[in-house]
Formats: sequence, structure tokens, C-alpha cells
Amino acid sequence: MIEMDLRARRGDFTLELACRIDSTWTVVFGPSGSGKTSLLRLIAGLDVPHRGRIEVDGEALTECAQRIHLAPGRRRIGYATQHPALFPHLSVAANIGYGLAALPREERNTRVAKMLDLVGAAGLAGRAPRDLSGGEAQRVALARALAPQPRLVLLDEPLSALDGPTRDQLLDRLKSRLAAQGTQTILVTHDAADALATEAEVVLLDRGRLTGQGPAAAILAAERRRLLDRLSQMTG
Amino acid sequence: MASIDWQAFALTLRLAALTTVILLVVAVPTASWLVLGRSRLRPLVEALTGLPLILPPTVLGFYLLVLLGPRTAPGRLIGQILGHPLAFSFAGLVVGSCLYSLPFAIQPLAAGFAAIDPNMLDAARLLGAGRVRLVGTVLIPIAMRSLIAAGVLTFLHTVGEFGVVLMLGGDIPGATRTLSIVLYNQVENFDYGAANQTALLMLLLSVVALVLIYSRPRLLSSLPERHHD
Repeated sequence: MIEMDLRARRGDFTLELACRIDSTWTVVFGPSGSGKTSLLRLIAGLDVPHRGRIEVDGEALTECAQRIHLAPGRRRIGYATQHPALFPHLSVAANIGYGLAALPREERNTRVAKMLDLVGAAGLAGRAPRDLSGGEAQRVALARALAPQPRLVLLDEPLSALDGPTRDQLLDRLKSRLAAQGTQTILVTHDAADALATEAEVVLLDRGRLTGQGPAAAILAAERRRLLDRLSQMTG
Repeated sequence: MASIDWQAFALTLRLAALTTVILLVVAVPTASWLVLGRSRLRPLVEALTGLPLILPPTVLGFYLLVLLGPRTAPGRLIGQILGHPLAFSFAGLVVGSCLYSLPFAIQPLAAGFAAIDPNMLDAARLLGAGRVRLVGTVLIPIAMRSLIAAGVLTFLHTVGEFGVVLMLGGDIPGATRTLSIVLYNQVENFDYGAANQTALLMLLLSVVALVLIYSRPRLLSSLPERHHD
């Protein structure tokens, strides 16, 4: 469970919201510049809010009043974005194993193989990042973020370089796996179809403010109508 | 090459090698602090470490001569500890060289670190890397060319320094007489033949070092990727 009440500023943009997220699979939806990525970065601890607090499972990750700001690496959060940012001097397998330094070698290798399998990249273990396509690099970055088995997974359009059907398939597989583990996941998207397809709880953002929260079908009813209208126009 | 002062040559190489090692040890944490840190002191540290670039070497040498000499409290203290003043000694020359060449070690390295994709640093932090692991496993391997450039530039800059050496070290054979001083003496004595040989030796050193810098990227890119085993 995530609880937050925060205010953060970056230049002219201000993100200010208070919400509680209980759902296992949540989609943060909103137009470009609505604050989706800023919100994820604050939860991950990569940015610090000006005031407020962020709690995960009752643990304060950020509490400005008490000057608590847990380092990103101690939050047990997995974060994958559309920028794979793989370490160029390490192989695919070593990239995925980067967050598993504390594990014995054998266990680490097994976990790396499982993660590669999960994201459909089993044949890429020995490849160098420079030899991967955009989609392959995103799969590997996703596997790297999931490998330490975080308690919370933040996904910021992490499969944007994949084609629609492949992305949907991978998201479905990921959703079932994370749900089975009880891992809470927040997916950022500006594609309403992604939110509607996964029947997620939706957090709706607009210009840095929370404008709605609830089941996708209810919160995105207007978006759903717009998509259906467009489809019916196309089909004639 | 009979007229080359091999003692000065060896001393110059020793001075440059020692300065390079010391400065790389100092430059890696300093450059990473400049790039990763959010301290308000950053502009001040950047200015201080860049100062030797614009400060005339003789001015730096003069201040060091005064500071490290017996006229000041720090100079007297160092003298008591070492048993001799730092000025006009090889150790004093190392101190002067380190200060004089500081920007040549820090600036290429800081530029190399700053050029790394910040998303990569975020990824490493989220995967549990603290500052030391971040520097050792991400910054240095990715900015290896900058590290090599910093090392070579520091070495060459120390080999060629003259003003600081003359002011701080004087011209003591085997202790503070470097190739630059030898060259200066040879020219002053109108011994252009010997000066030509000394200058040629210094030119060769510079060319070899620069070739090393320019060929290193190709060597690095041909290295096999490290695998997870």
C-alpha cells in the first residue's frame, strides 16, 4: 500500500497531490506534462519533494518534516523507464545481475536466467548492450529492474519500443507474475488503451494535480468513448 | 645523445609519475563529488581546482616558496616534521607539481563523468549502488578514456613545467633539476646542440603520450565485454 501527500516543484511545474494506492496493478494516466514521470521519480527517491511524505507498506520512504529521505537503493523499488540506460561495459547478463551483488554466484545466475526468460530475452545473456535493438534493450532493462525482487515496481512506459501485440503479451505475463508474487506495480502511460486493457485502478493526473482515481472503466469512460468513436469512424 | 642529462631525465620521469599517481587518486573522488554532489561549495571547489590554469606559474611558485619555507608557521611545522624545509627539495617539487597540474587531472575526468547518461546513474542507485560502487563500477569504466587522458595530460604537463620548478625547487642536481631547467641552462650557455637534444627528448615524450591517448579508444573498444558468470 502506498500513501502520499506531497508537493514538489521543478521550474514552473508544480506537482501537488495526496492519495492512497491499494491496488496491486495501478495505471497512472494523463497527458504529456501532467507529472506522471515526476511522481514516479519522487516515489523512487530520485527526486526530493519540497514538502510531504511518501509511505510504502507503512514505512516512511520520504518524510520532509523529519528530514527522512531513504536512498533509492534502500527503498526496494524496481524502476524501468523508456530509456533502458544499460551499462555499456557490461554484458546483458551482468546488467541484470548488477543489483544482485549480495547473492551467491549460483543463485544470481539462476535469477538472471529466470528474468531473461520472463521478458522473452533468453538468448541475449552474452550480448553487449550496443548489439541490442531498442526493444531488446528495454526488455533487458525491465529484467534488470525486476531481478532484485522489489516490493514495488514502477514502470514508466518501459516497453514503448515494442510493437503493440508483443507489448500487450509481455505486459499480461508481467501482470500475472507480479500479482502472483503480491508485488505492487504502478505503470505510467498516456495510452488509454493500456489502462483499459489491464482493468487496472487508474490514477488520473492533469497539470500536476490528481483529477480522478478509481477503476479504469469509470475513470477513463470519456477516453474509452473517444477511442470507440475513432474506431467506428475508421471501420466505416 | 651524449649531452643529455640522464639524471635530470630520470628525476623528471619520477616527478611526473609520482604527481600523476597522486593526482589521479585525488582527482577521482573530487571529480565524482563535483558531478554527483549537490553541495553549495561546488562552484568554490571548481574555481579553486581550476585556478592553476590561469595563474602564472611563477606566482604559484612564489606563494608556495613562501608558504613552504621557514618564514611561515606551516613551513616551519613541515620543516620540523621532515627535518628539512620543503622548498628546494624533491618533496617540495612534488607538492608544487600536484597543485600546478591539478586542473589537468580533474577537468578531463569531471567532463567524462558529466557526459555519462544520468539515467544510468539513476539505474545504478536504484539497484543499490552507493557512491563508491557507483564510481568504481559505472563512472570509471564508462569514462575510462577520460581517466587515461587525465593521466597522460597530468604527466606531460608535469614534464614540461618550468616556472613552479624554478621558483620552488631552484636548480639542484639530483634533487630539483628537471629537463626543463636543463634546457634553460643549455640555452643560457648558448649550447644549442645540447639544447636541441634535450628539447627533442621532451618532444618525443609528448608525441608518444599523445599517440597513446588517441590510440587508446580503439584498444578499449576492441576489449571483450565482461560477462556475468
